[in-house]
Amino acid sequence: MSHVDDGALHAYLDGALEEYPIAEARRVREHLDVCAECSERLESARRVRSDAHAILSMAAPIADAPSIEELKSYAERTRKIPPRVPVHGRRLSWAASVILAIGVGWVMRPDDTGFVSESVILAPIAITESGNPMVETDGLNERNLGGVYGPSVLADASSQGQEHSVIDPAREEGEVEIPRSGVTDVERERSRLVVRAESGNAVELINIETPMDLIPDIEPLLVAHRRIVPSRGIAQWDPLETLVELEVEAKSEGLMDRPRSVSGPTLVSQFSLGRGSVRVVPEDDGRFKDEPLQSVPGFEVTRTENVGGGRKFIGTITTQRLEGDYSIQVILLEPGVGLDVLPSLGTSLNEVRVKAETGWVILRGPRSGQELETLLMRLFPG
Amino acid sequence: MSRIDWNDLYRTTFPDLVRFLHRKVWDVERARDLAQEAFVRALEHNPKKPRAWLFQVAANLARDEARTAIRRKKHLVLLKSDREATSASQGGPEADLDSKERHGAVRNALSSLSEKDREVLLLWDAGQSYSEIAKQLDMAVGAVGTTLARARKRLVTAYNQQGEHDVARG
Repeated sequence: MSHVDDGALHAYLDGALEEYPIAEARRVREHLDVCAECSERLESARRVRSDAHAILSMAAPIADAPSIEELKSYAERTRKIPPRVPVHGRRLSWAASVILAIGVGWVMRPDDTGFVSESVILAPIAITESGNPMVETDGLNERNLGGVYGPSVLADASSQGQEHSVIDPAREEGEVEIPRSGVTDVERERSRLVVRAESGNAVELINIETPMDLIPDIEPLLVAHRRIVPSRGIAQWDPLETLVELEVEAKSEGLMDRPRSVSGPTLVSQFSLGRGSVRVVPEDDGRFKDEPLQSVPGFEVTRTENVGGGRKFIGTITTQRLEGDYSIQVILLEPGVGLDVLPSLGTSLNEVRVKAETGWVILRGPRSGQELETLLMRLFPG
Repeated sequence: MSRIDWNDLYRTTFPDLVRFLHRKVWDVERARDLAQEAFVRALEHNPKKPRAWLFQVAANLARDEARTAIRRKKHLVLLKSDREATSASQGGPEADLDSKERHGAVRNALSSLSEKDREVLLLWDAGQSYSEIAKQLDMAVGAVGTTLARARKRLVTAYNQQGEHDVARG
C-alpha cells in the first residue's frame, strides 16, 4: 500500500478528508492507523500546520461588521448609474480609469472544407470610470491601452457612429451570439488575442488584451493551429464582477480523427481577461458523444496542449491526473511525425511508447515502465 | 430554494472576508472597505452560493486594488472600533514596533509564496472549505491539500529565515 501524500495528511488534519472521494478517505485513515512512517509524517505536518496558523494569526485583524442596515444604506447611496455617454462623445484615455469587459466564445462547426470555423458570442461590455459604471465607445479602432490594468479586454466597434448593440450597460449579465459564420479571423498580435467577427451590419474588432502568459493554452488552440477549437461558447458576464473568467473546453480536430479520440470536450484553459465571466463550453456534440474519453480510466484530463510551438499541428499532449495522486502525460503524435519533436523527459519521469497507424502514442509519468505500460494498455486496450 | 439569511451571513462572514483581504491589501481599513463592497454586490446579485461568491468577488477586488488606485470616498465608517490599532497602541511604542515588525515579517513570508499557494492558504485561513477553494480556484479537491501542505511549509520556512522571527520560538 502506498504511503499517504502530504496533501492528504494536511486534509486529514484540516478535517477535510470528508471532501475527498470516500474510498480515498478510507484508505488514508486506514493507512495512518497502521503505518508508523506516515504517523510520524503526520506529526510533522501537524507542527507545520500549527506554525503556519500562528504566523498568519500575527497579522490578523479583528473586524466587526457594521449593521446590515448600514450596509444597505451604503448600497443605496453608492449605486447610481450615470447616463450613457454618446458614442463619439468622449475619447477613451489612459487617465480615464476605464475597465472594459467582454465575453467571447467560439462555436465550432465543420465548414465545407471539413475544417472548423468559429463563431463568437459576445457578452455585454461594461466600462467603469472612477468606480461608476458607464459606457464609452469611440468608434472603430479606438483603443483603451489597458496595460495599466493588467489583463483587460478591449472592444472596438465600427458601428459608424451608432451605439453598438453589444455594448449595453443595462444588461448585468447575458450573452449575445454572433452568427457562426461571423468570425472572420482569429489571430495573435503580439500580446493580444484578436478576434474579428461580424455581427449583423456591424463589424466587431474584439481585441482581448491580455498577456499571453496568462493564457498559455488558448494561443495554440485558437491562433496557431486552429485545429483545436471549442465546440461552443457561452459568455456570461457580470459587470460587477471584477474579472472575466474564460474557460475553454476544446476538442482537437486531429484527435477526432483517431479511432479512440477525445469524446467530450476537455477543459483546456481558464483565465482572467477583464471584468465579467466568459465560459466556453461544448455545444450539443452528438457527433462525438459516443466516443470514449481519451483519458486513462480513473484519470482526469487536466490540461491539453499541442506539441511544439509551431503553426503546424503535429500532436497533442494531455496531462491526466489520478485524483489526489500523480499525473501522467499522454502524447499523441500525428502520423509521420517523429519522436524528435517530443519535449525532453524530466528526470523523475519514465516513458513508454507505441507506434500505431495513427502515429506515436507516448505515455510519461512518475511510475515504473511496467506500470506505465499497464496504463497504456488501459488507454488503448487491445 | 431556501432564503439567504443575510444578517447571519454578514455577521459570520464579514470578519473572515476582512481577514482574507487584509493579507492581500495590507491595510485594515481598505480590507474592510473591500469586504463591504463585496457584500453590497452580493446584496445586489443575490448569488446562489453567497459565501463562495463573496470570496471570489473579494479576491477580484483585491486584485483590482493592486492594479489601480480607486478614487472614491469612504462612504461608511465600517467599524466602530479598530481593535487591532487599539490593542497595538495600548502596548506602547515598543509594542507597536514589535507588532509592525511581525506584521512585516508575515507579509514578507507570504509574498515569497507563489500566487496560487498564497491564495489557497489565505482562503483556507479565512474559513473556506477544500471544496469551496477547489471550486474558486478551479482545482481538484485533492490538489487543495497538496497546495496547502506546500504553502504552509514554505510560509514557515520563509518566516523563520528572516532571522529574528522564529515561530517556533514565539
